[in-house]
Amino acid sequence: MPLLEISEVSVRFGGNLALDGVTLAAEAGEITGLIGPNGAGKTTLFNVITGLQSPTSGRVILAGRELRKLSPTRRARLGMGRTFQRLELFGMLSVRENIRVAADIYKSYSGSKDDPAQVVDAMIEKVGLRSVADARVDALPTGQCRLVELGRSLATKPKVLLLDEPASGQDDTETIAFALLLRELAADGMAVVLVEHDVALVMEVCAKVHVLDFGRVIASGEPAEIQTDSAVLAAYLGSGAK
Amino acid sequence: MLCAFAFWQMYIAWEWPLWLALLLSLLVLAPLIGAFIDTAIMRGLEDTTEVTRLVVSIGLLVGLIGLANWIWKPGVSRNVPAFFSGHYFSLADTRVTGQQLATIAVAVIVALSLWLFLRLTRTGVAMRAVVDDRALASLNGARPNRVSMLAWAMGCTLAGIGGILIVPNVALDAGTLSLLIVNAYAAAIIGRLRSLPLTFLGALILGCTEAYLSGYLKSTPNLAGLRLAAPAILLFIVLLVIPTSRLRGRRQSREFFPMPSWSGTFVFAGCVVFSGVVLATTLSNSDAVTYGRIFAVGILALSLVPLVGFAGQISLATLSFAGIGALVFGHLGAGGNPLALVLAFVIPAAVGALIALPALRLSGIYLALGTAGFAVALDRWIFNLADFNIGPVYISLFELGSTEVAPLNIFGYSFNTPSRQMVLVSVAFAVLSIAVVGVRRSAYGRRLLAMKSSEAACATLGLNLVGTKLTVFALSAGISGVGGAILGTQLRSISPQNFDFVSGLPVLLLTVVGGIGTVGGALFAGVSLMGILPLLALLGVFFANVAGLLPGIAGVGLGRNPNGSIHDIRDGFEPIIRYRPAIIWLAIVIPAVWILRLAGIYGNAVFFPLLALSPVIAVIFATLKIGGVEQTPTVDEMPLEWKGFIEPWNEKDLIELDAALGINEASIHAAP
Repeated sequence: MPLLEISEVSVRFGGNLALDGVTLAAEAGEITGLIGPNGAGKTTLFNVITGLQSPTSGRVILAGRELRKLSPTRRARLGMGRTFQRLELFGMLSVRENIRVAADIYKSYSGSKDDPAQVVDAMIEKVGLRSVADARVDALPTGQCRLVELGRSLATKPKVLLLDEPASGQDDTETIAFALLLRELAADGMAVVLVEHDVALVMEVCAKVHVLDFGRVIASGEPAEIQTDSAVLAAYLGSGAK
Repeated sequence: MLCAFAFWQMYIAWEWPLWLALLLSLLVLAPLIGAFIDTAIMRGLEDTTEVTRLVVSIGLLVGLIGLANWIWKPGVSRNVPAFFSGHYFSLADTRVTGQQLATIAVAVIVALSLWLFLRLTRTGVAMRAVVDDRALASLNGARPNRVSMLAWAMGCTLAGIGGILIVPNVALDAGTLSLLIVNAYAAAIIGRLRSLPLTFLGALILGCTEAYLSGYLKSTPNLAGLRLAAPAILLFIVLLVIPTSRLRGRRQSREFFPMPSWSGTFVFAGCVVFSGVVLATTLSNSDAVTYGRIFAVGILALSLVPLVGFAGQISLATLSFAGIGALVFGHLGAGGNPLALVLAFVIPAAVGALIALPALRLSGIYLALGTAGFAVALDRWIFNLADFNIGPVYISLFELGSTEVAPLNIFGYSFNTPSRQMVLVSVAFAVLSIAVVGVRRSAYGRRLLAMKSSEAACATLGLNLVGTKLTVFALSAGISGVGGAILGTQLRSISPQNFDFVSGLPVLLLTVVGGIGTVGGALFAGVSLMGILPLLALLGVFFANVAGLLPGIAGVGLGRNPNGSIHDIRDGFEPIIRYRPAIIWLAIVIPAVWILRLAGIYGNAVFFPLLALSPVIAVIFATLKIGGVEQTPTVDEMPLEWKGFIEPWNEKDLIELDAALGINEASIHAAP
């Protein structure tokens, strides 16, 4: 059974159907890709999964449990972590403090015996931010801010990790390191859902890819299948993509 | 409010014809005020936080009340006769006066023409577009600045019409007329600040409720205040039932409050206690009564620091919680029992949490309005109730007048003189300051700051937002309660007027002006409200009037410096901190000046100028010694990004830049 299941989720904003019966799943230990043009509904789907947006219809199921009535806070405590496309960092705090807030919150509800300070150090090491650990996040470039968000989310030890364009703002070397990090997270048993415009990265790390266009899933499958799917080529990748 | 006053001046005092008075006040004065507010004040506020904008609006309100009270002395009865008096007609058994008919007619005409204007004219559509998206509207050819100026001018004219129509029915008094803002917002919130027909309906519901209450409830004394409080209660209820928005995401702001250090905080607390002792030993009894409130009001301001400064919530009800604290201490602290001070924290904190619980769904201006509704309901109704019982609990409030508060008595030592109280309250302020800094430095404080930055992110990390907001509301209300209790022991006798809604506004205003995220900002509020303003008032009537305007002006000027003035003040003292001999000099001179005063060598007229002068001398001396606060960098140590800006660009700069950035010029210029 997949760890995260999304079934027939629709969201209507006025006359605009942002999501139209989206069904997909993410397995533990795998990276699931979600691609699609701007405005396809990827971020809206993340908002529905984390409870920031209530769906007009449809269900979100985490480890067999229906989440419909649960608040974003309750969902996070069940192991739902995410990052944001439009950064949602705590601007007045340093990198270390940003991650520390998350570690403290996790300790307060999980009863974990881990020392939050050590958890924070480990996370800073893991996402590679040691050189800027005490800088105020408002002063950092976007690429590093995205890593802070990732580290912050990881400090709550999520079972499902939703990453919203985590690699945008990173250069090529950073992206290679990031791909390694993603594989490591999946190997730890996390279900990672990756929304990303860097198609090469998605095709490289994902076990399965879903393509979203105008709020509908137009294709699902392994990267190799997606790359040759004619509907996808027409809608998103453009005729020149291989 | 100003229009109503101006109308009275022209029509009644100067006996000008009605049409001229109406024309000048509504079509000349009102639009001018509106245009002035827009250009001079509101335009500087883009990209500031909601708190700042709200405080600037409050500053405007307080400033205008001060202005009106300056020009038109309060306490004089000014009457405007009803329009068309003597004309009426009968509808079944009801007599409709000309004034009532005119009011209804004007309301319908205004509402209809406003609706037509917003739908059908080019400017009206542009106005709605600017509200939606300012940048996009200007790309499409609208002129947002002109449109918003027009909106302000129209808004002021409409408010003026309302003011002039209502004046024959209510007293022409700046405070009363300004509080109509609660009624106006109650109606506007029913229309959700968007729909004209619903706003109109809201106003009708509100008017009918008030009329019903005054018609049928007058006979029971306990409910008499309910009519006055009805708009506030209705506002509160309406806010609670309107649909909520989604969780707030991150907002960009220019605000930043650095983490306070323990050493700095203890020095600060030491200085506070020392100045309390100095004031207590030098001021006469009556002056000690006046200026003793510096620290008590400072504590009230301190209660806002965690709530507004750290957590980004807004409360306009600080003084109401202070009132509850004072009442608790007055009734339960017989003989000045210090344990009652604990209750003066716990009970307001519990009430604060209770009020916060429904208010938590609100944010920004809605939260401010909700707490304002609570404060107004409390001071107009609850505080004026006679004693009553809830089950076995006997509740006694202000006993329909004033309540005595006993001075605090700790282990038989009674703080019963103004100078003893001065020391006590300065120590209380110092201790609470340290506690607030402790909150800021704790995991809880980090959580509050995180919540201020992004509620959405906090929720997706598993933070219990409700619990966090509830505790910070309770903490703030508790500190207010203690501040109120201590203020009560200074006042000796407290009445509802000490804790009314409007008097609470300058506290929030000046704390934000001082720096809402710092304990220094709280002291700033206390010193300016209870120290500098009374001092100014001593200089004469003119200065007393200016003192009435100052909080408003300070609040309005906030858009320029959202971090508060306390940072500038501290930066001013920077040279002393960097130059050790200056600190030693101060540590010797200030006690010396004080001891000479105690020995009776000179009086306060010499002492306080000397006291004020010594740090100034220290700053000047230290600045001369270390050669200025800031030095412009010389060319050699100039940061890379300044190259080519403060000195002409040359080849050497290019080589340096390339070296620093690791760029190989040849590879860039080689053909691909």
